Parts: sequence; C-alpha cells; structure tokens
Amino acid sequence: MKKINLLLLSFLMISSFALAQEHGTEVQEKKSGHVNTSKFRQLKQELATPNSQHTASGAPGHEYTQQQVDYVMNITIDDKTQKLFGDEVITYHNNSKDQLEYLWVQLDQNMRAADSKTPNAKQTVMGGSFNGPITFTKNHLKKPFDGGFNLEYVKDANDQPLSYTVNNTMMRINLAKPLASGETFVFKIKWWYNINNYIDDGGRSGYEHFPKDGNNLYVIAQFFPRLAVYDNVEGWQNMQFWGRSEFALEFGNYTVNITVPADHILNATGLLQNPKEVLSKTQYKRFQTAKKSFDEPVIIVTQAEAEAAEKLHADKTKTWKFYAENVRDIGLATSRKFIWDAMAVNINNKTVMAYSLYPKEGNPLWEKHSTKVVANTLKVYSKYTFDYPYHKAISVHARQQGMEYPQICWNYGRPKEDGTYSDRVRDGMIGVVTHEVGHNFFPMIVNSDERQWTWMDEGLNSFVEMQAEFEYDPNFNTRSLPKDIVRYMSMDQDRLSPIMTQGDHVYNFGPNAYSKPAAGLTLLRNTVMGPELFDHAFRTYSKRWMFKHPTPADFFRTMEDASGMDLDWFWRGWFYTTDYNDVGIKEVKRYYLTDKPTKAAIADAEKYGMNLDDFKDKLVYFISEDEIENPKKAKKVKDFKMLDNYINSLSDADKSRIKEAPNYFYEVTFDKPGGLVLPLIVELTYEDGTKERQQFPAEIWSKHDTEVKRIFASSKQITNIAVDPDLETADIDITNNSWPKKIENNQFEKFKDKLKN
Amino acid sequence: MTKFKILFILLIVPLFAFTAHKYYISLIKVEYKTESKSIQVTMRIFIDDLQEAINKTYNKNFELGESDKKNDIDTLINNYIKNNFVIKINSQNKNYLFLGKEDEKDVIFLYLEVENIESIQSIEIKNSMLMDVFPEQKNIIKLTINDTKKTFLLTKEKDKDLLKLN
Repeated sequence: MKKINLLLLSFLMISSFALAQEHGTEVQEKKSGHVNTSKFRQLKQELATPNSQHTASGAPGHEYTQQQVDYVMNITIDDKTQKLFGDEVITYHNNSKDQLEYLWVQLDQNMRAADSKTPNAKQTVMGGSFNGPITFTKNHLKKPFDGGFNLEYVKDANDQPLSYTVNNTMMRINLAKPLASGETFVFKIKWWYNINNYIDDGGRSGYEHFPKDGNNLYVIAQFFPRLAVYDNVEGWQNMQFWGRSEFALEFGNYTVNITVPADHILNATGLLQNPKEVLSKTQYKRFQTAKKSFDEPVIIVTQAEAEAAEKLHADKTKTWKFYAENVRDIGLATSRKFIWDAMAVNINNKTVMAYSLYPKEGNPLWEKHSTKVVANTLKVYSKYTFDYPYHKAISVHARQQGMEYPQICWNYGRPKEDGTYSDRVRDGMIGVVTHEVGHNFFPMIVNSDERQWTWMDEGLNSFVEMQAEFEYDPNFNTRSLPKDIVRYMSMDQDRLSPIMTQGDHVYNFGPNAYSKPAAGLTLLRNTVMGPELFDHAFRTYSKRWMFKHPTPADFFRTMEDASGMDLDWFWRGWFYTTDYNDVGIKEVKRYYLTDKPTKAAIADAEKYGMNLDDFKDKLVYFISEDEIENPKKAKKVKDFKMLDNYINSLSDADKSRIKEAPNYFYEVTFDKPGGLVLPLIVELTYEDGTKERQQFPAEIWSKHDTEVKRIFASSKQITNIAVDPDLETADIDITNNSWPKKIENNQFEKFKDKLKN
Repeated sequence: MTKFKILFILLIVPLFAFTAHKYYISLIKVEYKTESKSIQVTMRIFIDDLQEAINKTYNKNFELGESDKKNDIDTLINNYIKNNFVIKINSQNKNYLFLGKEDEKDVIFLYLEVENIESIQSIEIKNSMLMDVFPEQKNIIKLTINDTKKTFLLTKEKDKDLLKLN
C-alpha cells in the first residue's frame, strides 16, 4: 500500500507540473519560426566540404597532393653598401592533378619598395605640436627607403627570357604552354636589393648598425623570389604581402651558397657543407666537440674571437655552403660580431644541435640561457607533437626582433650596457626564444597558411610555448592562460575580431591571434577535454599534418576525431565569435525537511482534490527557508520512520544503492550574461570547512542558454558556493561568482588601504 | 609631404607586430565614487613601454623596478602623467593626485585620484601617454560614472574624448 501511495503521488506531481506548463503558455502570442541558432549546432556550414585531399576526419586524404619547389641559389651580401645580390635556379614540380597556365612568385621585399602600397593603406594625421631634429627629418625631410627587388633577369632553363607580370609583392610567370600535372618547370631569376636598417626602417629582415665598432649584424629573410602555394584550398595563395600577415610556402630542397666578408660568422637554414673551409682549425674542433656535449653549451666562436673580428674589415670574402632538405624557406644571419655556442640535444636517441649566435652586447644573458632554452624547447615540443625532424635549431640575438624561419630565428633581449638585466628582460628573452624556436613545429613543419590564418601557427605555438616555459622555469610569468585573456575579451566589442579573421584585418593582433587561441587551447585541455584526450588529439593533428598544409577545419576535425568529443560549440564560440564568458550565481533557495504539510503542499493538494490528512506520516515535505520558523529544528531523513521502513523493505541489491542521506537542499540558479557556453565549475564549501568540486559539461547550457538550475542535496549545510574558483574559464566578471555575494574593495581601494597601512 | 610621415608611423609597426608578444595597449579605469565624491583612476600599462617612454622623454636609463631610485622614478612618472593625462570635469581642468604604483608580471598599475567632485555633468579625458614613443599606442579608458558606462578609445589621432551625462 505504502508503495502504491508514493507512486501515485509522484505521478500526480509530474502531471500537475505538466498542466501548469500548458496553462502558462496558453496566453502567449505565436512567434514566427526561426533557423537553428543553438550554440551547439554543428559547424557544417562554416567548414569547407570534406574531400579526398582534406577528409572529414581532419586527416590528409588519399588524393592529397602538394607542390614541391627546389632552389639552387648564390647569394652575396656586400657589407660596405648593405646590398644583397642573388641568383637562383628554381625547379617547380607540379604534383597536383591540375594543369597550370602560370606560376605565382612572391616578391616580399617589394613591400619596402619606394612605390609600395602598404604605407598608403594607413590613415595619417598631424601628431604632436613639435618635433626634434631626428623626428622631423625622419618624418618630413627623408625620402622613403627603397628596399624593393630589382630583377635583373627572369629566364627559362635555356636562358630564354620569360614573360612575367609584377603586381606589387606578387609576380606572375606567364608560361608559354601550360604546365601539365606531374611535369617540372625550371627557371632562373637574378636580383638585388638594398638591405634595410631594421632599427630605423622596421622589418623582420635587415641589419642593425653598431656605431661603436662600426659593424653590422644582419638577420636576412624573405630575400629571394619564392614560389607561392598552389593547392585545392586557395588555388594560388597570392594575397598581397602588406607587411603583417606572414607566409604560405611550399616545401623543397635548397642548395645555397652565401658569400660574405671573410671575417664574418654566419649560419643559415640547412646543413653546413663546408665547415672546415669557413671555420678556423680550433673552431672546427669545438664544432665537433659540441656534438657530444649534452649538458652544457660548448663555445665554438668565443667572445674574444668575436671582439677581435669586430676590428677587422676584411676585403676578402668567404662562401658558406648549405644544403637544406624538405624546408619551406631559408633564413640567414651574419656578422663579425657573432659569438657562437652549441649544445647537443637528445631527441628520442637522435642528436639535434641547439645553436646560438649573439654579439657581446647580448652577454651575459645569452651565454647563460639562449642555447639551453633552444634545447628545452625542442624537447618539450617534441613531447607534445612529434620528434623534431631537423638536425639543428638556431637562436640569433637581434634587437627588438622576434621572428622565425626554418631552423633559425631572431630574438630580442639585450642587457644594459653594464651587462645587468632585469627579470623582465630575462623572462622576455626566454619567452621569445621559446616562442620562435617553437615556430619550427608550427608553421615550419605543420605548415598552415600564415597569410590567411595567423592563429593557426601563432596560437598553437603560443600554447605549446607555455608548456615549454613552465618546464624551463615552473614560476615563469606567462601571459596566455584563460585568466590572462579576460581583459581583452571584455573589451569594447567594436574593437574585437573573431579569431577566424584574416590577419591583416584584425584589431589587436597580439591578443587576438596569439593569446586568445592559446588561452582557448589551455581551457580546452585542462577544463573541457582533460590532458589525456587533448594531448593525444593535438599530437594526432601535428603528426597528420607534418610537412603538409592543414586548414582550420583539419585542426577542428582532428581534435574531435581523435578524442570522441563534439567540440563544435567550442570552436564556434571561441574561434568564430567575439562572445565572452560570464557565469554567475543568481539565486540560491534553501529547502529543509518537515513532516507537516507546507503552504505549497496544501495548495497543490487542493488543486487535485487530495486530503493530506489521508497521507499523514506518509510524505516528506520540502519547506523553503522563507517558511520554516527555525531551520535548526528541521527534520532529518532519520526522523522519518516511514522512509526507514520503506528502505528496510527493499531487496539487498536495492539497499546497497542507498547513499548518505541529504538533509539540506539548495536549488541554485546559475545565470549566464555571457554569450559563450563552457563547462560550469561549482565549488561547494560545507559548514565543517570541507570543500567539494562539481563540474557540469558545457552541454548543461544547451536547453537553458541564459540560466540553469541545479539542486545540491547535502547531509551538511553549505556555507559557500563559488563558480570557477580557479579562474579556468576566462569569466570576465567574477563579482557574481559567489554565494553569499562577496563585497570586495576594488583594486583602487585595496591599493589605498595598503598605502594607509 | 604626408607620405614621409606615414612611413614613420608605418616603420615602427613591423617591429612589434611580428614579435612574439608585443601590442601597445593601456587600460585605464575611471570610476566616480559618490560616497567619497572622488574619481578613482587605475591605469594598467606595460612596464617596458612606460619605462621606455620615461627614459626617452627625460633622457634617463632607469629600470622602473629599481627600489633605490624609487623617489626619483615616482617624480618622473608623476611629471610624465601630468604632461599627458588631463581630466576635465564640467569643462574645468581638475588637479589630481598620483597615489603610487604597483607591478604585476609585465604590467604596472598607476593610481590617481581626483577629489572633491560634487557632481559630474561632463567628463573629458585626454591621455597621450606613450603615444610619442609608440605611434600605435591605444589608450582605452573605461568610465563608470554613476550608472553610465562608457569606453573611450584614444589614439595618437584622437587623444581625447568627452562624455556628457544628463
């Protein structure tokens, strides 16, 4: 009987709820229909249709093709006039199934040509009411620097001139007959250009002049006409180079001879073919010793040798010969000022060399950290992605630079003249070396299209960078955790761009393309997916697209494909919108137990013509905090005999499922003023001071986008409820994150209080 | 003529746009407190940038973290703010007090207070800090005056803005 009564009542409660709902909607006016606007709808309309090159699983397909471009180059740098002269033989392999009527070649240096369109794409205004002579001359008296390419010839393998058309930073080679699938086209270009002083004129490539000793330090890149990418995503990727959005390049093999003054020390992408010719005997010995030094760097060119070279100004030249296999680009650094140190790194039993080149101005900071940071970066990135496949990675000291090329990068971090440096300079240097060396993985090997999607290399790289920095120094000050991106994400919406925006048109490039994606991946790893699933999926993506051209869809799809999680809602919110996360606790209603009918119970009973007297000692009533006279006298589960009897009547199997009895019931309303959906993390603090963490998946918001209720039933009283207590979810307003509401002094008042004390 | 000028602005851009972290933004919270009839100003600026601006402006070579030169540094910061940050309430220039500074990671917080403000009908803020040194500098001012919230985005082209309240 008892059983039946209870059952009956529970049915009654359900149907009464349903009735109330129906009555409630009766008066509503009919709204018109709508398309699917759920934050959990699939990304199908945003992503390109999968095909047999880029598959639905996010992997390269069975018909995936990629062009190959090989270069044989002779480069000369004239240090006296700061000019670069080059000639190259390009072998273009058309591996696509398409026939090509023309080839597109990138002329990046034309961005610095006197007639470049880049300056004219910017607003200009009168600034300041006065100028000093340096600024005035620079602004109003100097002609623009002419650093564009001067093409001496463009000809075919038989030295016959080729027809070509230059459109600013892009050049079309007009083929006499289309290049069929599987065919190879060989052509030759000769050029020269004025190298820019990047301290004065800006740029990622150029030289710094050191007035004290009269020397230049060159970091040279984008210095040769290079083929644009042709694929089935963009066709020819021939978007102009405006100066910001970086490069899309094909892989190939490079044979490069670089001629510089004989007293220079040089390094570049590729395996040095003639170390004995270019190094002194002692240096060559040290060069060999370094290959076996896994713990400490070996100095190959000492500071004393570099300082001696600074005083020479050799008229003779030397040619450094490199061969680089399967790289997408090359960069080089050369100067009399270079000190060179080297250390061997064990990557899964393969030896990779970590090198640093720096002038004495970088010491003592550089000799202490640079090469060790390179080694650490290679190890940690290899763990998160794949074993570093190249034979070396070089960190070059260059003031104000932070720029990456295959196997070589330029990094800032210069101590004061007396050699001292602050922690900030040190951390900045460790951070930039890690970041730029890390770019070897993204995009030098996992070769996304930087011109189109900055975040695909900068964001992924900034994410792994953090892991490497924490490994190098557990207290490292990183800037790309979810809590660090809150200020950016709460900015004026007019000044925000979704991450999925082409790089040239992004407001606030740094947080948009670097920190926000990195913070998002951190959130995904630590909060949404968990490290195990995330790391496996991230490694799968990296391995699938090694030496290939992935698109955003390939990344999104692989992360889901390899983890068994539908993350479309995450990509949609974090990558495709400028929505922010803000979740709060709107209301907490406490309920206690009583054996006396409550007002609500009486009202319900009346509605259904029940007489509650018939149910005496047969029901448990929930009484709200407003109605109860003395919560301390509230009934506990153990006070209800009939519950006891009922439980005793259960089978042993059912009994074994009975858990600790809750006596307190908290109905918590979480509201979500923010547009993002993310997991809801709740921390409960009990009266005895113990804490419990509960996490609800993002899907909790799927049918309740603006607010959702949860009941927390507990044997102990809850004294405090907090949302996202560890600041994992980039919640932009944490003043609504706790119950009871904390009233905190703002930062200003806290500071004033501190001053008073 | 303008072309040369553009070039100057442009040239600086690549230096930071492509480095690992660099972007030039300061965030300044401006809040009116009715209880204390004061305006609280909290500025959040990258330390390196403020250091470079101050060293360039006053031809010094300070590290902002150096504690033995704290007084000298505070004086320079105070001067620098006074030369670049102007606050007008109801069309009148207001004096403010530089209360002090605090560092956190790579940013520095500067605290200013304007006292004795009975009511606000209009507030105008000029903030040209760092713009001389970094032409791309953006100073974002977040105002909370009574129940009104407003954001000014100040740049070298437009280094002041006005909010009228009814």
